[in-house]
Amino acid sequence: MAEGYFRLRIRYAKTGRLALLSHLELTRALERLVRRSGLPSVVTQGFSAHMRHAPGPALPVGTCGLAELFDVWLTEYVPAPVARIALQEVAPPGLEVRDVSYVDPKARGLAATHVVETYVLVVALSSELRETVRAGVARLLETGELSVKRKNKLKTYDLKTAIIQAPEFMPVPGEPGLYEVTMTLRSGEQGSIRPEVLLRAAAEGGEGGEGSELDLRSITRLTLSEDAS
Amino acid sequence: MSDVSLWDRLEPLLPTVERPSRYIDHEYNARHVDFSSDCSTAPEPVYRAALLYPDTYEIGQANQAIAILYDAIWRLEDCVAERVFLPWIDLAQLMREQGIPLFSLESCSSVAGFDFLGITLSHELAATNVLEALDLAGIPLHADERKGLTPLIVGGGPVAYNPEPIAAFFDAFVIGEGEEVISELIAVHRRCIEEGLSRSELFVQLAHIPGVYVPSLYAPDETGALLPLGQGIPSRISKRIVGNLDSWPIITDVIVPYAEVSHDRLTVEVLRGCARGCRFCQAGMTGRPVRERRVDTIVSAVSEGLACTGFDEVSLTSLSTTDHSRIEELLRRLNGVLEGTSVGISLPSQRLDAFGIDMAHLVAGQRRAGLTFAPEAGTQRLRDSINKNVSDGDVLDAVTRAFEAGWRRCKLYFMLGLPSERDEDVLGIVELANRAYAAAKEAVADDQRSKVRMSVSVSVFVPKAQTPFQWEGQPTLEEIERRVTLLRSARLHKGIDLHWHDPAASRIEAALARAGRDGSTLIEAAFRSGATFDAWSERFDATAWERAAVLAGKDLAEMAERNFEVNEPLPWGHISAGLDARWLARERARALAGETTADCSFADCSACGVCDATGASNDLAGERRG
Ligand code: SF4
Repeated sequence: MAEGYFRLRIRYAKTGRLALLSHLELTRALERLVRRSGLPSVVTQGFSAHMRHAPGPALPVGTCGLAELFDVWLTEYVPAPVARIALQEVAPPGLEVRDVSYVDPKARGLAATHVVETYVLVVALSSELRETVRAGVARLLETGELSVKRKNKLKTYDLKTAIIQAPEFMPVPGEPGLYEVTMTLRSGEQGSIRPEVLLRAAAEGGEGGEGSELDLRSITRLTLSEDAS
Repeated sequence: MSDVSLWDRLEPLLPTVERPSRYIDHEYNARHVDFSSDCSTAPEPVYRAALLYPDTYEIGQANQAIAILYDAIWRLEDCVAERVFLPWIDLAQLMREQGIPLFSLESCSSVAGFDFLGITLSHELAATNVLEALDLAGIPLHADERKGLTPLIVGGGPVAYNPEPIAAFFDAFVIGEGEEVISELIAVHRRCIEEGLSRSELFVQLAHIPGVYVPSLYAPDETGALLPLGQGIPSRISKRIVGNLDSWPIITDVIVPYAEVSHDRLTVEVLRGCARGCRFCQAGMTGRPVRERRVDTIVSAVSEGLACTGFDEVSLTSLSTTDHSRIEELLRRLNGVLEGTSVGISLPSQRLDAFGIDMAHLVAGQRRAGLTFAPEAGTQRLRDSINKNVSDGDVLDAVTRAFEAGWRRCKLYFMLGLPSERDEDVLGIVELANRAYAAAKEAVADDQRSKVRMSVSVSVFVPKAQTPFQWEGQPTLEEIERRVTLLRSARLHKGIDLHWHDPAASRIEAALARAGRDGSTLIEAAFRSGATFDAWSERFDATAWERAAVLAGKDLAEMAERNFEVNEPLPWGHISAGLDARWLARERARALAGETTADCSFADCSACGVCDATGASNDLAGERRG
């Protein structure tokens, strides 16, 4: 990367229907958003010229994000508040540009630095199932390990490092049977464990296996931050 | 309320289906009614128009007709337009199970509750999808089973040049270009609703709008010709066109899709019509006269469109973009405007000569995807007969120039089964492709030879209404298969890939393209036999159509292979693309005699009749070269 470029970090929320976008679709939408904003983005030369950018860690289809990240390199410095307004003005419904800031152009990629994620899941639980899940969570923490089968491959997560804040259950006011489950997870070398996978495993009693079906109403990534430890 | 949102019922289904992003709406530049939360004041009556492209979002979202009509309707007072696409089979099944009707994207409301349903008909194989859409919407398939004034179901697009096989399912058709007539049509419809007229009174009023065809007001005489049933109903419906294309605004705030769609880029239509006069080409024949937009108009539309959308590619569309009289100036100016950006320019098809390649080269930048050439026929004799004024030398020059300029891949398009085709013409395809391949190898340095890729794509000729070949039948399926075998057994260089289009699908296309009113029984039977998405090769089910033909008492072979006498009434005889029937017959005779006809955009007028019929004429931005 040539000297003199500016790396703008965009923090945005994607909610509602935009939860249904794939990572690729979202990335393309953000590129188009940056182009519409008129910000002086860096164009790489080569076989096909394209905007120099780097999306943050992906979310699966169906997940909302309140503090997602997207880096874009600029040829000129534009004051951050000005850049934020320029972006927000041309944002599609359901995408809100929360704040923007400049970071060291040489800083490591977002997937490497922003490994701490806090999620909130809204789930319907009978009182019996709630107890099973709670007990399952405790057992998982005790075991310290979870093996998950994905696409016929067995992946084992070290829960001692993967779980920063264990799932906490809060009833949703006025909605009997609905709970907000909040947890903070850390992604590691073998990727990140999905919060709903963890919850399903807990519902199974924390014994591992396929995980049982849960009546999940929504999954939202609340924050995405650097590892303080 | 008719516009109540179905979203809450739809949303839970979406995570379980393929590509949910195609159903979510909310794209940048999609337009919505700004419903105020204060419901205490009754809103003004609003006319709601749904625009259906009868295929998936990916196929239809970038359709220009939909984009143009969407914009035109939103410009009308108190009118809203919403898009409708067909759900893919996975969602359609869930919708049927749960009783969710076909919905529009913007308000996610039932299509049956709209005032107007406009359906774009791009090709014959969309017919069963039209029925699928009506069925999912809960609207009776047959116009004569429907009651009331809404939704008024109107078709338009290329297939409307022979609307008869689908006429039973439509209330009306628009013949020709729709952007002007749509406002007249909606105005009449609104007035009839306000005045409380009956359905039949509405139909009579609609039939008085130039370019609007109301099939229920016509019946066949003993010769089979369709005649108007009442006084004042026109005996001939002539196409509408926009005479001054340059003054019609180019839509720049187009919807920016989330899902990856075909033609996922800004499109700017630089000209309409093509006067080259290829005798098989319905788009060319019906699109006359040629109307070019001015360079200034195009350049500012490109800049504005890119700014409003954020696309990184702009396609300069038309039937033959490099024929624009000022194409070189246009491309140079656009290059200047786009310098330093990541935006690329694409030209949809290449003119088959060195000039065409020079133009492609001008905008290629670093991108050297593949080039597509359409010689259409393998020998000079047959190319003369179809009026494709291209020589072997032109093809070889174009290929040489392209490979010298850095391209490494090219695709050659041919047609099989053209009228007067002989075995030597079939073998000529192989011979020309081999020579082109050799020219490509010759044009590149030694170390690049292994990178040269060429493919030959062969489709089966489908005779179309309103062309000089409208009287000609398709060869029999056995004969087509024999010619395919001949083609495959000829010595095509092993470095060239050969693809051919399923002749069974082309036969259905041919059967429908020139069918009369009775064709509707076949289409309905095919739909009932499970045919939908027939244009998707993996979905096309020839046996469903065979079964349907038996049920409907039709002979597919006879329909596709039928030769009409020049004096015989044609099923589409009452529909006019402005071409003089005598001119079409003369062109057919010239085809059989192997004589060519010059392009009137730079040579003499051949008196096709379009300029007289439409009151327009070729409107060029400069002088054209041949
Ligand atoms: S009437 Fe003459 S000038 Fe007009 S489109 Fe036909 S051939 Fe061309």
